[in-house]
Amino acid sequence: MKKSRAVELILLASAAAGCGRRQCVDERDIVVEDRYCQPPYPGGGAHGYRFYNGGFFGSSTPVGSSVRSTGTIRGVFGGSGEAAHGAGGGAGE
Amino acid sequence: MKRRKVTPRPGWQRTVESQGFEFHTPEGRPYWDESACYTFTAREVDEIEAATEELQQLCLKAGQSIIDNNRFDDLHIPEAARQLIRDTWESEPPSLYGRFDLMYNGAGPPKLLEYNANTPTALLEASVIQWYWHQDAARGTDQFNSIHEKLIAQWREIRPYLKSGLLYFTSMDDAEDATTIGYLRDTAEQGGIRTSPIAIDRIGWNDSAREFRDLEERRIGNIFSLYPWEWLLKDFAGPLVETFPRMIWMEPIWKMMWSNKALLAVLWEMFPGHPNLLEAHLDGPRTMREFVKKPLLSREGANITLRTIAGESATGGPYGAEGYLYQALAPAAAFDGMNPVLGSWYVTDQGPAGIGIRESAGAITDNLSRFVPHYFQ
Repeated sequence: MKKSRAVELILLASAAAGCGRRQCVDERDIVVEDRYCQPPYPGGGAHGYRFYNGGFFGSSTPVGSSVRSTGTIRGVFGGSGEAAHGAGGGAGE
Repeated sequence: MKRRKVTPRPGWQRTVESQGFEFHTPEGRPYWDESACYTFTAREVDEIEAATEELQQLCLKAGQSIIDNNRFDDLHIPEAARQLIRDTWESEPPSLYGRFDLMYNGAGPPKLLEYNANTPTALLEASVIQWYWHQDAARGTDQFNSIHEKLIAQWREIRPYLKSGLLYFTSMDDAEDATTIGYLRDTAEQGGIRTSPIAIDRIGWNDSAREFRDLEERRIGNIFSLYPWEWLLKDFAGPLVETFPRMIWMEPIWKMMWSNKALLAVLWEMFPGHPNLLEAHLDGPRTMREFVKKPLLSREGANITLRTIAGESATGGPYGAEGYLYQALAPAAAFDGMNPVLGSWYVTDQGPAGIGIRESAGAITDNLSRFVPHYFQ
């Protein structure tokens, strides 16, 4: 059989529609209401609220490794890709 | 095989965007191009399909040979990965797909340029976008394309072998990679698997629990990574290696043998003169006067040197420290001044699944090449 019979997508179109939208996220990268990223809540600081522009995973791009209170280190992967292609580059071929 | 100029569908940008394909014109340059298409005869498609199956079988033999003859030094595979490659080659953890890049002109057999077996992209456009184009613009013809159904079928096969919990999908935060990941998630969900995305740089390592975690601090038991193995190992080899076999990593780590261009030299050593292979060596061009010099691990046409009688041209990039492959030039395949490369998809245990075509004005297919749809009749 050479031919596709039915091609139906569940996730992708809706996911793509959300790309590139600025969203307010908390310190765990969870999307919250935009008001948390506006005064009187300063971006960053103790609350960790900040706007995240673009991205495809609903999470922010970290700067280096970070250790949360849970003892979990983030940013352990990605360095080689960024070194090869720069931030925002891809690894697929 | 022919190249035809055709009229793009009115409003095609909105059409493909509605199908989840956002990067059709990245940074203002065209990538999806439906102002042309390639046409094939049924005989030619049969030839491509048979060559794809044949190459898969050759690669299986080459993988066994690499292990049996301990060729890991030739592939510059780090020590940390070698036993895992041996173990997973035997235990056969879940595997999904790969893309053979073939040079083909319809006049002779398809020739293997390389096997993108670890992190192939250009998948959604091959599987879905060109299929809907075919439905709209080439009715009454056929298309070599059952990628979508075969992916879903393979996810159904994979599902019983996964650990408990979600199957995570990860890549760098890049439009093309994220689209591929999004599409693969879609097919996995349709295969009955619950999934979640996570950016590669947001994966957490909990040192006391000795496990990888998501942003909710849940243990990651299964992950599909569109971030290549050589980079995973370079970034964080020790803890990563420790997670075997408690954790399912896809594609399996043994794919390091196939996604490495040294595979092409191993294939030529084992099957010299095979009609689907090009002469290839690791120690230099030997007697070849015209050849391509490729880094063993380069991506997207980076650091490629093309040597012909007329002279030499080269692309830039960060690769090459790992060594090079010297490969004979494939027979010319130029249509209207464009050089097409066929990406022939192989879905594990499901077989050859279809093709996507990228064409370039130059001889090297890079990230400026255009994806052009096809049909056959």
